Amino acid sequence: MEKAESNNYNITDLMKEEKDLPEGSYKLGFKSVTSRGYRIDEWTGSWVATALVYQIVSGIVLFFYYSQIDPYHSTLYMIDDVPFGHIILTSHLYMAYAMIALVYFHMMRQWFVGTYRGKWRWLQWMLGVVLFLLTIFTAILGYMLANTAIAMAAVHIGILFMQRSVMGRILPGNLINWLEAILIGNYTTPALFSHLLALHVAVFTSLMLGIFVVHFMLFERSGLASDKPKKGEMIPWFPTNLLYAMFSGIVLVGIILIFAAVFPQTLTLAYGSLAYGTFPVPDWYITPVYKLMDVAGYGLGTGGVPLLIGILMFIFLLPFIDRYHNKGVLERPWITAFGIFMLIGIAVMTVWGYSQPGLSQTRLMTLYLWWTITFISFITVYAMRFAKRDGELIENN
Amino acid sequence: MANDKNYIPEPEKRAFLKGAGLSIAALMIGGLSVERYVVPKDRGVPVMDNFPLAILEDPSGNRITTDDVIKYAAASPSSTSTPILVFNYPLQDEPNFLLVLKGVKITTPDRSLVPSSGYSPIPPSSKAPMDGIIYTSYGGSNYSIIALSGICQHLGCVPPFLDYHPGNSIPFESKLIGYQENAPNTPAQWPNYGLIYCKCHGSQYNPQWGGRNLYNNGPAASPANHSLPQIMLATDSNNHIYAYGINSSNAVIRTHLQFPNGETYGSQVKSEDLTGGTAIRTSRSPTAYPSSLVTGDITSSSSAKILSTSSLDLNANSSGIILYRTSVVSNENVNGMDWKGSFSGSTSNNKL
Ligand code: FES
Repeated sequence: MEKAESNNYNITDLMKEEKDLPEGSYKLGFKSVTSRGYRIDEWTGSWVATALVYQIVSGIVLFFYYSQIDPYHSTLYMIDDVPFGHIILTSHLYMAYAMIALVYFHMMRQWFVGTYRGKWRWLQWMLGVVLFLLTIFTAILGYMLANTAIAMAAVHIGILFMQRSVMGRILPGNLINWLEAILIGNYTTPALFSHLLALHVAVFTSLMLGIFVVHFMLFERSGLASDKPKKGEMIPWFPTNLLYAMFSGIVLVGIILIFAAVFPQTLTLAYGSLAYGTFPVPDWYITPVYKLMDVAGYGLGTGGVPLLIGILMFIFLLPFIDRYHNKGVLERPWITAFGIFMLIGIAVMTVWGYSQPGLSQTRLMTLYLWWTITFISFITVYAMRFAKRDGELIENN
Repeated sequence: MANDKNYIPEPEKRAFLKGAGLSIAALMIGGLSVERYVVPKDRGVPVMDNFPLAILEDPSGNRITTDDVIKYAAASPSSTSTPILVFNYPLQDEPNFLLVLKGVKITTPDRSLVPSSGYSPIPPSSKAPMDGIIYTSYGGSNYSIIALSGICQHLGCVPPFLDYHPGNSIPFESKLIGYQENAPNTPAQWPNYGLIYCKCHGSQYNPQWGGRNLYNNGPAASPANHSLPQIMLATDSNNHIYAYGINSSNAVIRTHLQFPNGETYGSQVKSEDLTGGTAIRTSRSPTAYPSSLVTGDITSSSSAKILSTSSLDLNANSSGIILYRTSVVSNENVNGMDWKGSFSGSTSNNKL
């Protein structure tokens, strides 16, 4: 049984000088790994990074044509009149979807494998959660930019959340006013879209990039969680590791471009238009949160917002909540059960939110739903543990 | 430890942490105090002094009359979603429903239908009168024309998410969350002249009660807890329709709660409704404003209320009242009947 590594909370250790360098020097290294490090599940992070790079490049192209004065029509213009505009816009959207899906994948993989402990991995995990939130926020900002009916609904919801949710009630009024002014300015159409654009392309993106660099460097510092460096067996970072990352990234971009070419994006209704029969639904990565509001509060009458904050805090503090001594999936039954709970919960909420957005549910229904998911999550983990132990017993006899 | 060359002495570490803590605190306090420098000066300031007097036009710029609206509504079946008519007021991008309640004359909400408990949001002392509605007689029956905000009082969803279901056709979603059309003990809860239902999170409003929010005490509570703002309407002698204000006994337009703890009802409603947005367009013929307007029953002068536009609380300059205009749009085609000027504006953009 593999023991979990212990955390190093002494951040100043990060500033430790390298022994082989002159005194006072620091090194940001790219580490070599053993061949085990080339397993596909060790590369979830590299795809997220590829997605980020692709979003920046395609985003710059789109930025050339976007106009905050006439957001809807400039988006139409990109689709209809800019050379390759339609495929760039569509791939920007699909890569955003892929990025969010990959972030989930990356996160759940670390969750189950338990790589968020040891060295500075706890810090890397926490920054990762921040990156996860930034990714979602950036995506939502991008989705607001087109001035479609659903985009403006999202803007309204954003403003009202600031004013009326827990946030607006706890934080001082002038701070909220400031935050709101950052989001919407004085709320005229050009001001609103200039602000959304600046936040989407500059503010959130630079934050994301900055934190990503730290997240990545911490990874290079701590190394692969499951890799045991051995003398003579290491594969050099350059060029193998780099090329591997680039080629797997190119495959991802290729897949997205194929999807973008086959299923070009159609722009939904403009804000203010009324056509029936085309009822836009929020993007899939929002529907779980959206549905969570309908099935609010675990059936406890707490409302969806506290539940959401609770779940996020749990994820954020996971490295400290997980106090199991061992590393394996089944050696950490509660953590794994919560992971399964997350997986089922997100999937159920996404599909349900997509098929019945905004349909309030009765408390009883909500209660059944949440407790069933909880029950299933725990029962699977304990059943597997039982089966494993049983197997071991049989083997030993 | 001490002979490790990377060893950083305790006091230095403490100083570093102290410094970091102080800087963060300073940033936060500084952030609060510079609020007035980073927030634009025109933020939170109304864009006009008073509600605009706006004439309702079709998308091609022709003035519409009460007859146009009623004809359009009469052509639609009453069992499904009606062709919703929407216009912006008091500012741009502030949609409102122009609703026609068939077969009923409404001057004040029927108080006898309003249950005495469970509908707390409207203060009991205020009557939320249906002031400014127009009703007339067309083809032998009565129609009431009212205008209610198309911005949901929960989280601000707009048409087509917020939708009007005419007659007593209760939307499927609404039934699904537990209301039965003919439940013996709740008949009074059912709107007789349509329901405004929000597909976003299920808020429900009764247009017959002045946009009052329904079912806060239902099995699945309506998330909104305020009534829809009501736009006051009037006509001139040519039966042209004007919007001239917002009933302050209803709530402020939901997306206009400019500050946390801003007023939802009462004296601040006007300035809040007029804050944060862009004024609608002014009339191409600025001199063509009416001297008097009528609200109430335009076919029988006894119950009509004459408003002198000069005495109304409106924007005026030295040459008189400024007349604004706003387009009434609809989804394209209902039962073969196009809305005037065949609204082709934004919907045609959806066909890519
Ligand atoms: S926005 Fe209408 S119910 Fe939530």
